[in-house]
Amino acid sequence: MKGEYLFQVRSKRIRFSFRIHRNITVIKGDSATGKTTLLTMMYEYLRSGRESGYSVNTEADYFVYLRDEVGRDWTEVLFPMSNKIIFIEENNNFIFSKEFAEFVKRSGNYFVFVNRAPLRMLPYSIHEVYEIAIDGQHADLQESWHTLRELYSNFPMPEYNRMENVLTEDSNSGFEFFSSVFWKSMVTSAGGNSNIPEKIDKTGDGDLLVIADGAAFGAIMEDCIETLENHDNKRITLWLPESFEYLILKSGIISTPELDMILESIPDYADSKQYISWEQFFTDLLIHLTKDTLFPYSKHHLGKYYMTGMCKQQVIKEFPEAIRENLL
Amino acid sequence: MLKIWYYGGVQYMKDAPSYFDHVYEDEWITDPFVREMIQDVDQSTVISAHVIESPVLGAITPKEISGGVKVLILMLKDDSFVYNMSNCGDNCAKWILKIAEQKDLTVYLQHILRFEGEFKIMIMNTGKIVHNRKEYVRGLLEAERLQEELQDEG
Repeated sequence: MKGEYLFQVRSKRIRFSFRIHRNITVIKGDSATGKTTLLTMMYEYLRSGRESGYSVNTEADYFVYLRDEVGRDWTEVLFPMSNKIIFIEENNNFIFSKEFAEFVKRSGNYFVFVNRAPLRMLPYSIHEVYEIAIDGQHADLQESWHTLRELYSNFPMPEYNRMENVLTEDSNSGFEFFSSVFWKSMVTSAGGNSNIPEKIDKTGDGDLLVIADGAAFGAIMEDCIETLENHDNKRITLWLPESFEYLILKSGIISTPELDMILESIPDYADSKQYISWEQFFTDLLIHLTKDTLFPYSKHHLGKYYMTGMCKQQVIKEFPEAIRENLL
Repeated sequence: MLKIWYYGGVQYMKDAPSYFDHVYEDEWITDPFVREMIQDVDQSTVISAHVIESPVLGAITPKEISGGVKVLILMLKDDSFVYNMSNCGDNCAKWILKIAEQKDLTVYLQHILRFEGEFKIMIMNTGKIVHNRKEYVRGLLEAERLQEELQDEG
């Protein structure tokens, strides 16, 4: 399944308007923001259409899973589905199981989870974790307007971070690149994103910059932010680009009309049946675009071409300004 | 005192909001402490045991209050089960501490609920007592690692 989908869900008193961008979306946040109300309205509309008293406008084929029914568990209901956006209500604990994670990976459906606990078996983006917020632009006395607001869009950026230490999620090509660029810093690899909170705790004195793939860091984000806030004796900041491969693709090192089109409309190309996360999509795309060139990309070892001064400068242009300034 | 099992170690109520709908009593809703919780978390006013005025939904029944407040009320009024505190948002945290001032409250947790200020919480997985946010987060992450080790061994 590909593409972005707009939903407009409405009753006489309340209106939700939001867009689903990728295959995995998480809605969490405070109590009483309307999560259950939203899913109930969508479920009732699915059950009885306009006779429900609600309206749901979307081009997507969707389904709402509120809870197991007697004699039917989630596997019987969800396994046959394809090309649907499946909304799953809180308290369906099967979403934490290995079997469910496997299903998400192979089914190609999009999933929207109402759930506060991290889904550690699934790689989802920091940009697809939301809370429901009142849409102030459309404030109305008769009708309450709501939308989805990104929870992790404002994580701290590295102003004033002296970057004595750099911790990367990558252990191969990305690590080689960042080790070379941050040559003045002590660069270490966490050996995978789930190790990052623990590694932050164990990093020695001096400021720390953490670089990880935002496209698959959603489940780690909460632990990570809480860990950062616990260190008040040094500056620790996160930089979460989509992925290392995304930085290369964006940098202009490789320039084809096909790539320009893809980067302008990623949801239309990243097929969830093939790629569980955009991180995988970018890696595959980079390998595909460079396979018959003099500089084929490999995730395991970075070719010499990517370590040339010209390439490094191009990729560094994609870094946040505060990091670039610190490199000078 | 509040006692937290993080990510395992205890059987807990899987769908407390549904359970609430079937067991709540009129007296629970009109209890002044419960009225205050509903007002604070849901911004809704208890008119009577059967009617609550919501600023968004209009007149609702106790079955339409938020899942978070339902779990708070169960924590206060019904000791039959251990409840999942991850049904509660951060705006419920201060009320959980207030309930735990009145009695020993054992809960299950699957995410890092934000408690502010000074408090006394026991992390049941490790037996450690934590008193502030810093100790609490460290305590939960330690419990998480312990739980992962137990799962790996199991």
